Amino acid sequence: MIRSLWTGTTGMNAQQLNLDVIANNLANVSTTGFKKSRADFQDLMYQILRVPGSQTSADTESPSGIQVGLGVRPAAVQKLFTQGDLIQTGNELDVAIEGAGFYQVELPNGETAYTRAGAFKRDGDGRMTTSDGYPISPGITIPDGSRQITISETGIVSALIGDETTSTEIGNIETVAFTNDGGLLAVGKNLFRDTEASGTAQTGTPGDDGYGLLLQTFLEGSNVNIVEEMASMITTQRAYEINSKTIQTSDEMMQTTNQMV
Amino acid sequence: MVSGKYSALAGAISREQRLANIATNLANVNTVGYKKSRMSFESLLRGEQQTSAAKGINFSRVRENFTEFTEGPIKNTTNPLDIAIHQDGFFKVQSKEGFRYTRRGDFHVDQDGTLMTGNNMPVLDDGNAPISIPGNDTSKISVNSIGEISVLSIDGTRELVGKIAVYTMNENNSLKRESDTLFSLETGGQEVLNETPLLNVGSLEVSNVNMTEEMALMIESTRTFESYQKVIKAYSTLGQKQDELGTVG
Repeated sequence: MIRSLWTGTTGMNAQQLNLDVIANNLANVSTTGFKKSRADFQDLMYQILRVPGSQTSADTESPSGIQVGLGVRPAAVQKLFTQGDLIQTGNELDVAIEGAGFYQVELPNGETAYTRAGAFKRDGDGRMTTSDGYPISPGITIPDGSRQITISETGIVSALIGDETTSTEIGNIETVAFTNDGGLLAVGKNLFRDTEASGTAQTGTPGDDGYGLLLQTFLEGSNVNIVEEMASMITTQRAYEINSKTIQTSDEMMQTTNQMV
Repeated sequence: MVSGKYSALAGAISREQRLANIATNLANVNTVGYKKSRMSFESLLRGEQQTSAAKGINFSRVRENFTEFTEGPIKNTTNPLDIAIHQDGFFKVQSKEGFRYTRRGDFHVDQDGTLMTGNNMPVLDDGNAPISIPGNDTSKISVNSIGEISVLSIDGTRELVGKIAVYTMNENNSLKRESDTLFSLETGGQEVLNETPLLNVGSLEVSNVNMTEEMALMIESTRTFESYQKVIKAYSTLGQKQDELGTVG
């Protein structure tokens, strides 16, 4: 059957995926700690009708051969871990990471996940948790009667307790870094899991070499750039359209064939 | 006897069957939990020449009709009783004919407090029993990501009332398609209970039909069908000409 019909289909499907990725980026344009994704595509296999360099006569050879491509396929949808905007909120439990690193979060099943969304809360037991109530690890419990919680840029958490006038240290926030952030598995709820591709988490102190500093009363916004996404959306739509034209044209060509008799 | 016309007829019929299959898929492009069905063709005598062993008999026919179990898009509905299964797995429901499996997760609670699918079949727990939910205030029901159903009472306590079972199959091929997004397990198939499934509560899994793909298949099938039609027509003209031979005047 006519190849272009299926080639056009792969093109349309690829653009559909591209739009899915853009839509998710735009949907999360104001999600704390969100990292945008980008779809990468690669060409599919080629049907070789004549191998380049094959003999065309005793002493000549085909300079380019005949290779017909069969379309496109998605190769990767990759998360881009560039820094998002820092937004001042004034809330003492909002902590942004300026530079590399992730907070560690303990999931209900005991496993660890990682996040850059530093909008922390206190739960009923006084633990510092994410918005979903997952405690950060190593755990930090804020004693009852704490006033004025301060989080230093290296992660030392201290508070004024009761009517004391000197602050007491109540814990340390550790961040982790990965060999390859792009290999992390996004599991939703602003969380990432480590994979073979990301390498294991290396714990460190904020401010160390390769670990960003913490910034209290700030949140890291998403790193989605609306203008860029809009431009991608336009090219995606046009590419989708032109691929549908390929399919239509294939159809019309087959129609022509069928009308020959 | 010219067999070519029958070859063309066989081709045309199998394309027509494929079109019916495509039409079903397209009709269910928005059906919750629908899995697209596919068709493959085979030739009756693979690669035989018309003249030798095949003795001019060269037909194609539908080889099999199978289901593609790829995951469909997840649509967020925020309804607490809409549940989509992430990755492999099926809910088990009680139909009039016996146990059936489905990925359709638009549940509701009927007047007797039983958890039902959208097509009114009781959803089963791991003991193959229906799940009943006490009280009639469904706004107090919450399902967690492994399928445990809890009810919140007035004083803020949570009571666990049941667990929706999710089964995977040793072979998805052992599932037989039935109507209404249901599948039955054929003999030899084995269900495996998944104790910790990953459920998306507040979402539905929409049909996995890809419109673009179906449209392209439809174009291809239609045009191929047309070509076979032309062949049949050519044979018909030939026959006519044969009849005219030897007529006088």
